[in-house]
Amino acid sequence: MNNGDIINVAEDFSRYPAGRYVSDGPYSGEQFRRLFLMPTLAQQREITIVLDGVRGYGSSFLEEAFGGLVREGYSSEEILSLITIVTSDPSLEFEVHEYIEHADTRDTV
Amino acid sequence: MKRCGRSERIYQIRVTYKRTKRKFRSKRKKEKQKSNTASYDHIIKAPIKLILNDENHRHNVLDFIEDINFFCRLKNKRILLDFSRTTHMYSGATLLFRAHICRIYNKKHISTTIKCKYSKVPKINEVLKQIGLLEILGQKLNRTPRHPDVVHWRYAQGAGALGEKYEEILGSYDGAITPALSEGLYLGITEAMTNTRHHAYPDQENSSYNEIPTNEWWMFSQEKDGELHVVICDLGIGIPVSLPTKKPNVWKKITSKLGGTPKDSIVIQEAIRHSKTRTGKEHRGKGLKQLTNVLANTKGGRLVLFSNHGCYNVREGDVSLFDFKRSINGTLIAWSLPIANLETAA
Repeated sequence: MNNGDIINVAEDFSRYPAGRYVSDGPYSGEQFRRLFLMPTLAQQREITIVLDGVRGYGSSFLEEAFGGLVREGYSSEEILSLITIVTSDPSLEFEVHEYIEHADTRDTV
Repeated sequence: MKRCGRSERIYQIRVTYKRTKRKFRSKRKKEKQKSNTASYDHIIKAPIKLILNDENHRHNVLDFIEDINFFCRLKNKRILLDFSRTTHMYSGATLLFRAHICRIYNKKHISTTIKCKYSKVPKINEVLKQIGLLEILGQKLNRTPRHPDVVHWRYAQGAGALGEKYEEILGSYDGAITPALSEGLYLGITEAMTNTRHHAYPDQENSSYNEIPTNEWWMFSQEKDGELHVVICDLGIGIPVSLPTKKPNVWKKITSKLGGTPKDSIVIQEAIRHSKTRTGKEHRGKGLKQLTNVLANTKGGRLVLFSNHGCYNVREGDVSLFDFKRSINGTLIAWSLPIANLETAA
């Protein structure tokens, strides 16, 4: 991870995030969670994620990256207390919070 | 009888000579054509019009593709795709045809040789060159595509969700289309790419081609008459077949409402309807809803989604459904977005 506890998705991961699982593509939500979110949360460190600068975020990417943390065993409260989302699009932040709070429902088509 | 003058006689001799020469040339040309086609084991005639949203033309296109797949399974054969009578090639049907050719050539041991016979319409030959078909078949056309309808065709293919491919064929439209539209297109395209894997597991009973499914996709973009057309397709099992196993809850809702065997178009519509976002924000959505979200960002946009027999059409917010007799054995999504009146690059 670069820049301490700040992750800029476009710079540190990819400008083209897409897909849910690693098998979907190289820059999937699962890959992002494994590379950046899991190691930080495992150490109980606070983390700021900058979402700006990418082409776009598909729902499956966001759900798997952030909702997947709940399925990995972290509580919603714990995740929300450690992760800060920075974005110029408020609906993105809202969506991420929704995925964390309702991660058990995975009825995406 | 009046006797001819000298000049009249010379004229008649010239005319007779030219007629004989012409007849001889014509005979030679026919013989040459005959010898060219005679060396092929099978000649498959391409349809006059490659269109998917007309029942008759669609039938011809699918027959054409089915014939190619059938004859390519035979070993050590020479096949000629005869485009001589083709006059129109629309992006959807052309992409589907090219996808099948790519899949045939992606196999490691292909013993069949495929060549194509050029159309009498020069524009069609330019299209064949522009979409890279001639390159795949190892043919050369000494003609650079110049027609405005042809030069703006862009082509990409891949497997899985490869967002960077968006840049290859649509990156140049940055500035010519709004950022919201660009983002919407990106989400729609990457969602379609992701779905190729989820809709691509084997279903031998329902596949008329009996091919090994892959997670490959093929994409075209074309700028024409102030509109940007983007088409992406896969050769998977299609949304109506994948939905019952992938999303049993959604399928249960559909069947309880519409009965056990709903039409493909209705399944597509319901699959999109049940994938709305929980956030309630119009410009965000999840799953298949992301395919239609792009239309919310621009006026006059259209979406046509073909999956197996079904066709889901959105135009200016109005949804229309249609079911065709024959299945395309895959999913094809086409967006048409006006770009002329949007903010333009400096």
